[in-house]
Amino acid sequence: MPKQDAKLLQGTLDMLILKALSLAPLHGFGVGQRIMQMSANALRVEEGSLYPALYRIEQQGWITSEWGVSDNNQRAKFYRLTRAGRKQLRVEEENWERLAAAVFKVMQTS
Amino acid sequence: MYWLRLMRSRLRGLLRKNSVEREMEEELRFHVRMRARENVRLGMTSDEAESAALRSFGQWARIKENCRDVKGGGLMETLLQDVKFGARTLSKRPGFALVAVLTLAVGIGANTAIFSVVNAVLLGPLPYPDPERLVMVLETDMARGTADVGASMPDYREWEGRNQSFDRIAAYATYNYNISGVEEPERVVGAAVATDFFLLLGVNPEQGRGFVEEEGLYGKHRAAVLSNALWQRRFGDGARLEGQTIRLNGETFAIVGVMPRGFSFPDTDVALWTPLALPDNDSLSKRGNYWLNVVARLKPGVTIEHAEADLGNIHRQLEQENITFGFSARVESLAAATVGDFRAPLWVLLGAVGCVLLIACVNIANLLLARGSARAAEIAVRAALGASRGRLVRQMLTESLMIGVLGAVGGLLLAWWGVDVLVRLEPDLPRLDSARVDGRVLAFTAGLAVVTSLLFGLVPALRSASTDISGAVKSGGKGGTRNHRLLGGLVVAEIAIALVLLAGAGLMINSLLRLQRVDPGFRTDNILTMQLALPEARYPDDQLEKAVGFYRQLIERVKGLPGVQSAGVTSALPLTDSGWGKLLTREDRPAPKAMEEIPVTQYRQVSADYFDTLGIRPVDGRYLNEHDGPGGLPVAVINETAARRFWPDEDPIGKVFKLGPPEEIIPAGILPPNYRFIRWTVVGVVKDVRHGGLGRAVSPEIYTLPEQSLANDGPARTMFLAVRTANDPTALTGAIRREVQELDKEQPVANIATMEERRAESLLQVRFNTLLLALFAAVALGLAVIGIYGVMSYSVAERTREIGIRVALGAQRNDVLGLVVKRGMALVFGGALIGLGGAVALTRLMVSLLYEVSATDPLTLAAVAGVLAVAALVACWIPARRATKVDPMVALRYE
Repeated sequence: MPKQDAKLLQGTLDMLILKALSLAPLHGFGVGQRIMQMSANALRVEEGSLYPALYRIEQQGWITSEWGVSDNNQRAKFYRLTRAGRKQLRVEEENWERLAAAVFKVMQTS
Repeated sequence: MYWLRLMRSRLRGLLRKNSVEREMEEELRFHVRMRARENVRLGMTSDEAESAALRSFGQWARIKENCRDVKGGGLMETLLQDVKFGARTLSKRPGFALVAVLTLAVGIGANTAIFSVVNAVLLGPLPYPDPERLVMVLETDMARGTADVGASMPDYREWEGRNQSFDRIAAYATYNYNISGVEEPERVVGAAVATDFFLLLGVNPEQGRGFVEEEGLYGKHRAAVLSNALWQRRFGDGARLEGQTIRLNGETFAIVGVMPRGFSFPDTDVALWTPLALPDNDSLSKRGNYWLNVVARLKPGVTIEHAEADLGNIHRQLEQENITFGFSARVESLAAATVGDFRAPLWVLLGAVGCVLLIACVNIANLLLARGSARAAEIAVRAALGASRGRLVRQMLTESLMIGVLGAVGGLLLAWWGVDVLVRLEPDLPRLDSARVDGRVLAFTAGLAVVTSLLFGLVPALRSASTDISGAVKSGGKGGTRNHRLLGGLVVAEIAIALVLLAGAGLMINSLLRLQRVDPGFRTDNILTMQLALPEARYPDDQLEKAVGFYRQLIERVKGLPGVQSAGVTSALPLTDSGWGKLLTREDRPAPKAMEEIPVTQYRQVSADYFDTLGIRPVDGRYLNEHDGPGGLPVAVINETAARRFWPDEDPIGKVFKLGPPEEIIPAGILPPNYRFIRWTVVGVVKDVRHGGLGRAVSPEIYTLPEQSLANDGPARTMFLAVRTANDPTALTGAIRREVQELDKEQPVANIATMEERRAESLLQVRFNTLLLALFAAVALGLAVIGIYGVMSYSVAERTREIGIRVALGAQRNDVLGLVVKRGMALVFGGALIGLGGAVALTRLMVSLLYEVSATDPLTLAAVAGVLAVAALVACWIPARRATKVDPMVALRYE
């Protein structure tokens, strides 16, 4: 039986996180929710991948974090995109478009 | 930039580990709360929502672990964690840690000590600038196949003038110099050197200067450069060089320079240097006397092969020009020439200690494996809690590394002490005195620590990390049977390596025993010997009968001393590296046409009572005696080898020969006009003497009286005096010295030793190598036995239950004993077979160290295999006996 859930392509998670954060700062849970929402519930990011990815991206310097208060008045850690992160997102978007177009072409040929 | 941030974040992670951990914790908790709220929104009860949230969060611990890897500075932090944890586990089992560290310390210590010696002797650069360009040039007598005779002065001049390969080339010869004109005459080793010598080596005198070109001319040659040690001893610190002189061999030399401390070319005991200069008519400057050593410095970029080809061309030119025939030259790097003979034994020793270390590693691996199965439960729990396999392996390797580092530290201490002992044991190795624990040795030891840690740690670590978790938890930590095969394999390896070492040591011991049983052909007890060198200045070539007179008087005086039974002199004493080669031509055979056909013999001048003094027994005919005077028939005594070689199947007595080629084939101009070699008549044959060393082949030897050789070479000025005494010979040293002084107050004596001392010294090198190898083999055997014992004990402990059942079912004590011993001995047998194979393959490398023992001597191999088997049997027996004492009731209840 083919899998229903779309598997995340290796390396695309970082791009999705950057994209999710490009609109507004979010906490970790929010990032997961936003990705789900943007993909119309097709992409569910496992917590086990999400947090390590966030920490990795933070170390790259593409996002920064600070403690703030969530909409339900709880202390939460918010991530925001840095300038480097924005640049990185543009690069990854371009790469992705190229890749997606290429993959699409491959799949079209019969 | 990225790296900087990474470093900062990791550092932060490391320093403020707790706060980072807390933040992570809080963030993840927030996530779970949010997830729960979401679940409630989707219609769950709050309890359901909470547990669903936790469930969906999956394995908490693993996520945190992954996050930590990314965030908390991964490596650094986990390393610190691992080290702390390792220290705790090790200190919980101090016995294990102590045994492991000590085992490793012995292994690493031995390796570090031997490597320090190898480093100093073989690897260390020669103490001259650009040492790789320094070479020795050796003249080769192609016709006789005798390589490396000295160079003749004319050939050296041709090389010097015609070569295109060398920056500089310098001949030298070592001499004995008598220092006189002072209260205590002294005899020292010195070198007569070409004036370029110091410039060639690139070492300048510390005070004064080296030699200038005109000092190489005879008559202007009375200049000397002193070694630092001699200068200090004779003149003291701070003395001024100007105007200082020294009496050498009865002539006054100006001291022009003092070399820096540590400069000791060509020998460690060289005390001074003088210019190499000969009078024009000196026979040593003629072609046909091959006596010079030649050192040279290659031009940059010229290889040894080039230089050799160049010299080969020169010799072909010389043949075309009808100057000399049948010779060529060989070029060897100075480094190789210095340590040539010592290379094989040192590498063998290094290989041997390497084997010891391997066995030590196997033992520690054994311990770790056994402990690994004891720790299986702990590891299973940690794996269940989310530790990844890599993380577990890293943790356990860290523990191994800690043992490795501690072992290396202990090893360094051992080596420090060991090098000291080695240096004192073996003074004969060139440059050994510079052996010390330096940077390179430290690096070697550090490398050993890491390599050995991996060696003994990796297999047990991988093994325990891959433990089947549920199985291990269920069985309560009892190790799987998988370990048995691995442990068995390690025992086999250990036995095999130990056997190779034992075989090597056995062969060396066998050799040494044979060497010690060799009949030297002379007595060694109660014989005192010493060397005297009469100076040419006072005993010139045309008055050599004065030298004969001196020695005759000396012998008479010494014989008159109380306690002296006999005394004699010889130009070459056994075991002293002295000798004199000659060509021998029989008179009763057609004269050989070419030089190449003429055989070589050793030649000695001795006084009539020499044979009796040294106890060299007659075989046939008579000794030389007083009636064979200068005017009588020239007579000679030969040794058995000479009789066999030159007069095979004939009676040599009465046969006539000369010590030289037929006069007619010698090119004109080399000998004085009307020169005629003395015709010697054989009057006696004596037993062979092991002249060059107990293990060396015997050369043919011809003995004559000095006073009968006046017409040819003349009597020798340098002689060894041998004195046989009734009691302790060393007690007579002072009295004999006084007799010498009374005859000639400027005449020093040197090289004083009893024959027993010379014999012991000649075996020193072999004994040293044997001792070390035997020591290493003993350590290897001990470690291997401990290894078998450990594994067998472990296996008995593991099989307690099985043995209990067997006993309950009626197995007798002997059955149990047999069960355990059989398994142990099967491993030993397997290891011994592999070891024998290894020994046969590897001992071949030590052929050059053996004397009259084949490298695969079956008796030795059988003996060492026997020793190993007995030791192993004992090691199996003890745990086996313990197995027989298993009480079935206790064993069955156990668990």
